[in-house]
Amino acid sequence: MENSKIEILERALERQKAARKAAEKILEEKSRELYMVSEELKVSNEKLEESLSQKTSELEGVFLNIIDAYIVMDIMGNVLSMNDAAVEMLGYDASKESFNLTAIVKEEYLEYTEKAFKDLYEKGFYKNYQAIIKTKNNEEKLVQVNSSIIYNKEGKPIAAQGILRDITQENIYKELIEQQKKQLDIIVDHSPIGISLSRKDDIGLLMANNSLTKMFGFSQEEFKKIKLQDLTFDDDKEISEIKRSELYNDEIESYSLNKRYIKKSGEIVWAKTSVTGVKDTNNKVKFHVTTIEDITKEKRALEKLKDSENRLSTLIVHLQSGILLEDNHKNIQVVNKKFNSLFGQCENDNSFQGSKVSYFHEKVKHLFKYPEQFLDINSLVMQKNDEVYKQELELLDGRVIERNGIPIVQDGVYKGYLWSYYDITIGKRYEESLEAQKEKYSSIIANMNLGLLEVDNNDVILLANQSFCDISGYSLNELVGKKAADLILTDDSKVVFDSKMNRRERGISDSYEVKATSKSGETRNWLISGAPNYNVNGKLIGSIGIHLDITEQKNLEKQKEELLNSLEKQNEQLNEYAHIVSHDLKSPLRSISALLSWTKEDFAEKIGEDSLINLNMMEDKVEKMDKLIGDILNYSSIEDQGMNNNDVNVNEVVERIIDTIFIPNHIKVVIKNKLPIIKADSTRLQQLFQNLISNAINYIDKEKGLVEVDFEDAKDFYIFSIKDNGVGIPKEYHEKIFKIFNTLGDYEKSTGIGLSIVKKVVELYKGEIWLESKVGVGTTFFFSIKK
Amino acid sequence: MKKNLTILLIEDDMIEVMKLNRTISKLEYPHKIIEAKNGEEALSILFKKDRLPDIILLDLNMPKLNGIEFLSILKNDSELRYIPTIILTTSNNRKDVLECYKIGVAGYVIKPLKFGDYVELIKRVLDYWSCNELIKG
Repeated sequence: MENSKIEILERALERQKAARKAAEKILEEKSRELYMVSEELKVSNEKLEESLSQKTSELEGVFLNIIDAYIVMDIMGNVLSMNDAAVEMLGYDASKESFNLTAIVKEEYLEYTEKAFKDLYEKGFYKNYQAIIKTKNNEEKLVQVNSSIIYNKEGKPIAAQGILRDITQENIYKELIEQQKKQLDIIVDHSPIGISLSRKDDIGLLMANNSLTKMFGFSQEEFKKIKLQDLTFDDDKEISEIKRSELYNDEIESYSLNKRYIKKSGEIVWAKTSVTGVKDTNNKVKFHVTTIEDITKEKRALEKLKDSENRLSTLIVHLQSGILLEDNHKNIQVVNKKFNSLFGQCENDNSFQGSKVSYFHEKVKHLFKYPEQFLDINSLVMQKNDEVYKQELELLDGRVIERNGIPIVQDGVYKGYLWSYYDITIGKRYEESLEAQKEKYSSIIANMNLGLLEVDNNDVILLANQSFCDISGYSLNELVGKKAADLILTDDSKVVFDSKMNRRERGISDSYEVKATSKSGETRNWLISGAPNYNVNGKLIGSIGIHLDITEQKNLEKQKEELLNSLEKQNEQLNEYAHIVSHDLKSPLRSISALLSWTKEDFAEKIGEDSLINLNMMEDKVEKMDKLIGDILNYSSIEDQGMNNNDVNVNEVVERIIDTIFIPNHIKVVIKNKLPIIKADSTRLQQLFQNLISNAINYIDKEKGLVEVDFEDAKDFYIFSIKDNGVGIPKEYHEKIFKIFNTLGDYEKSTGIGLSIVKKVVELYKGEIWLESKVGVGTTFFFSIKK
Repeated sequence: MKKNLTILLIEDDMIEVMKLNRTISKLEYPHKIIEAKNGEEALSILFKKDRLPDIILLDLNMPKLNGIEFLSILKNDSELRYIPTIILTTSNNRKDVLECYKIGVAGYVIKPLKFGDYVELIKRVLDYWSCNELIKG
């Protein structure tokens, strides 16, 4: 069964083989016929045109460039004819030897070739067949073949024709270009600079590299619909537009702009944009390539730089010192306002700007006190370009200008020279007056009669003046460096001094007394006025003491004290003595008085009338003597000491007096206005009023006597008055009556001491006593007491 | 109900002694007067301590032991200190007055000039003291 099937299949194969052979035979005949036709074509171009009619237009082109290699082959690839170019290219000559095209194709192209032939046969043409062939000379060549089928009149394919081009070289270039393009792409893609390619009227970019997308935030996809013009910042659109149209109008080949774009995020990016036109074969700009470099940072840095430059120049302009900047050619670059005003120019004057320094020198030299000197030192500086430090220049108008100059050297190259001018007149004068003041005070310190000592915080002597040396007995050399207290003060005084030092540390100044030992060993009393000493930073650096030797004063003071003490003692003794004397005087008076009264009593009947009168007179004298003694004692005991000054109701004092003293019936004593309460000693006050009231009563000669006590409140004093309608006192006695033991009139009991006591008391209260009187009418005594 | 007083008068002035005696007799008082011419004599009388006086009338200005010195000694004695002592003097020296009251006196009277006034004064003093309850020796 299997065998029979195989037999059937073998028979069928056999049949097919036979059929193919028959077909091949037919094909051979047919191609021979075709060949004949082509032979005819060769002979007549017109005939060819006719027969092939207008088969394909490209064929026409091919035939036009017949200088290319041209072959005609049968549909199996056997070359039938070829032109000289083809012979040259392939090395084979179909007229001399027969060869098949497929045979010279390199093995790897065989399959491709077979397929190509099949296509050719089916479609009637095959374009751009490319394969490597081996020429007769064993050379490998890449050839391109464009071929078409040649049909007979019946429309049957009879042959194929082809134009061959050696594209070996072309291909190498192509590959190279391809490679270069790839490299370029890599470069473009990895370039940190944004690169785009655009066509004039496209809505988007043809190409945008990574950097560009990154820079603007748009994807490459998005860029297909966005042009860079669309992203341009409004303010920069106009100039961009102008430049682009210039480019497309072929006025310029490229341009470069620093302009702003708006990113997808809305941020503004400064970019250096360079645009180059790409021309087509007609020399017309069709495309443009744009490179975009983000210079935002640079721009900002530049702005900052500009800002700081502006600030700097504003600063220079307004600087309080005159500035002059020269360039390396001695041209004035900058002068500021102050500079102008220093040299009498208008502040904003520009006449110096740009001129030579020497012009400036010439122009202002007349302002200087020594113009020639000014020019000389300038030319010296200009030669050497040395630094100038604190050069003082005197002007005619009395001003003093100080200037400093420094050469400006950059990387070792002289670039110019910077001058700064200051008006130091005030400072100079101040300095001078300070110097004068200092001299004045130094001279005062040196010559004053007060010892001056400056010590540091550890009491070590820094400075002493001559007076201090004089009063201490030490020379300046012996003093400086020593501890002041240890050298000079006594041990007791050191304790005082230490406590003062503490106060000094707290910044307290004060005065105090110490005992000092001079070099000769003498103890002296000093009054020290100490003050903390601060440096310019306000830090305590020690103290300054003024020393006054007060030993003499001290001694005087001591003497005075002793004197006072002894005076007090003596006063006391005197007082005591007065009392003893008064006692001793009074005692016999009492005895006499007693004896007289006993005599009168015991011998009342025996003594006569006259004797009785005498005895009575004796009693009166004894009484007067007793009063005299009492008054003297009173007078002598009126002193400052022992006064108890309290609030005393004067009204009560006077009322008590009126109650206690003897007032005859015909006399009235009245208080006119209520008397005040004053600060005084009540005993003294009583003495005062009692004496005056008694006097008033005693000297009344009228039938009806009237004594009026009154007072007036003056500003600082109370003025009291005691008015009587007595005999009155003649003017010439107004002063005399206040003197001790002076008495007036015939009042027998008067001792002449009463008014002296009154005056003494009034004077104790810093008051005065005076009187107004009319003889026969009456007297008014006034006295004042200080409040 | 008046008491009979024993009065120690310390007084160097003979007339003063007479003045007191005359006053007592003039007033017809039954009081007994012991006389001492000065402080020493008075102390020797007192230190016997057989019959102590009811009151002492003391003058301040005396030779030898003066009144204040006598008073100090008296006030330092545990027994004698209780005897009321009245100063009878011509001196109104404030210092003396203060001193006497400080040491401790029962009174301080100034001898008036006139004998009549003196009698009046002594009468009042003695009347006063004879009304008082006294420590009996």
